[in-house]
Amino acid sequence: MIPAYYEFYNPVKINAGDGALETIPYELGQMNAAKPLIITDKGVVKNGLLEIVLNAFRDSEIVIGAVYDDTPPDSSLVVVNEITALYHKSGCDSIIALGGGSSIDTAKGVNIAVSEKTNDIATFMGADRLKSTPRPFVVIPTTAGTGSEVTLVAVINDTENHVKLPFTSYRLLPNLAVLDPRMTMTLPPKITAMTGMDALTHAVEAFTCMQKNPISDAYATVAISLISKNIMSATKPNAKKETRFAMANAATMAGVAFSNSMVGAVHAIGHACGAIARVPHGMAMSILLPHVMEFNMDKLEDLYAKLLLHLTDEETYAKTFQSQRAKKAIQRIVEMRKELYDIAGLPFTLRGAGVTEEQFAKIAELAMNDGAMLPNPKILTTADVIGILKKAY
Amino acid sequence: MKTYKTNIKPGSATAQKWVVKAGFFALGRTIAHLSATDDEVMREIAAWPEGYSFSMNVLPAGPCLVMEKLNNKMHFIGLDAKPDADMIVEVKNLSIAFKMIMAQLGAHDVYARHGIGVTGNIADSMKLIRIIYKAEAMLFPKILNKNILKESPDETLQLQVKRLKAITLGVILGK
Ligand SMILES: [Fe+2]
Repeated sequence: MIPAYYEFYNPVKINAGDGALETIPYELGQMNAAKPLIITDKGVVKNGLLEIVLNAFRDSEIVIGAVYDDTPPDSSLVVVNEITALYHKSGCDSIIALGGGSSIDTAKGVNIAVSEKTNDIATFMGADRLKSTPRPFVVIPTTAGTGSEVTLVAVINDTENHVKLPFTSYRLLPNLAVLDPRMTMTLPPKITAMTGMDALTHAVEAFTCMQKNPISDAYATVAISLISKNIMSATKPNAKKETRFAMANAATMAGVAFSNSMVGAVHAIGHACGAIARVPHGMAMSILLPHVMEFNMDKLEDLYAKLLLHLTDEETYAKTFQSQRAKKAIQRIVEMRKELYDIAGLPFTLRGAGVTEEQFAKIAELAMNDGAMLPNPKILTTADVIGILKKAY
Repeated sequence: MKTYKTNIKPGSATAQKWVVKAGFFALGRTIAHLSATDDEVMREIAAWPEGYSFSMNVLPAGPCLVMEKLNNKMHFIGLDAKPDADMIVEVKNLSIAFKMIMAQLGAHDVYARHGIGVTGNIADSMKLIRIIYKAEAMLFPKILNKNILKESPDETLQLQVKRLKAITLGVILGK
């Protein structure tokens, strides 16, 4: 069904496949950029990925202005300011993020600081607050999950005041996302499983939440097919390049989908589990997804039924009675989680993730005030959230 | 040579603006009434400090629904912009605000069509959305609110009495 009104926007150019990294010098040239700052982390350097990226610039006109390789697992205002100073000191004119969610969000923060000429980006927190043209911005993801390379969101931690600052603006969207199979080859099985389930959650919530539209649906459903066909083989040790690359594509497509139709209650509760009990994001998504789907079932049964086709195959879909399809779709996700536990040790209960029952009240309170509650098509009360947490325990 | 019209200024949607003004007045006074009588709304505003204010502004030129917390209750301050409000919610155009007031769009629909933007704390804006939601359920009978609420409450006698009170005491008398 087409909504009475919707909006969709994705101006990010996507260069994907063999040799994608080598296209970056040309693309920077097209953006009139000659001296990028690379923002990355120690793990990426250790795995030899930075070297591969630097080699892609050989014989080009581009000079790498500086490499910042100390990005912590959680982005912070302090780090953003430190990198911004480095950007100016080295006379850079563009930004390349190389890494997972943290490096990409940090780079978005630096782009705000540089383009808005501020050393306090917190004053630009919220929606649509950025007014200046951002610097040319390239993202090379090294995990297949967050979709940050195509989203308009950044979350930066204010470590002094212990709050997460959300920024959303079309000006945060990168100019170019580079999906190169060499970049996800070294991802360990458990991270592959977690980030893959995060991407699956993005796609499922994008397909069912309130800002969904026919264009985001197209991205979401293809992402779901790719994930369900590839997540198991990509998670196994020595996974083939093709399956990992399929996961990278899926994560980006799911990112486009949810950047336009937003996520829902799985994310709201998952964010709270992360804040209160330090459950890694993808792990929380994997644990909560089927339980929230069950909660939403009475409102979303028809949409979940459609997802069965993308979560399984034509034959299974055709053989399943319409009245059983939604249930079977949820069941399929439950089975995926069991398999991922066997292959990679990814827990599928909150207990297994280290959450205690005493934390439920705090998690529920925080989840209720999370922005992702709003797009969820069904209203959740604090008691509903506690009910979901209990089932997931 | 043919001459073309230039510098066209497409007037003002005066009638729509007055409807939105009247609607904001009713909504503001309903919220004020609920903030002193409804348990859920009282709980939502409990964490806001004395003097906390919000302004819901219709772009580009208003009206604006401005409210402030004084003596543990929300007060309807007026329809003019308050640039230093603690939370500013922007409705992107008058036609969306009009549809909201006419019960054609609910708070969630407005969000779903990218019709509002928030400056300030996300948790506070979530509270405001829940308060507006509650006020919509209170102001509009089921026949109207069933299209705009995610879940429309049952029309019990209790709800109807509360609605009557909200309209007479809240909207008309400002209590
Ligand atoms: Fe996520």
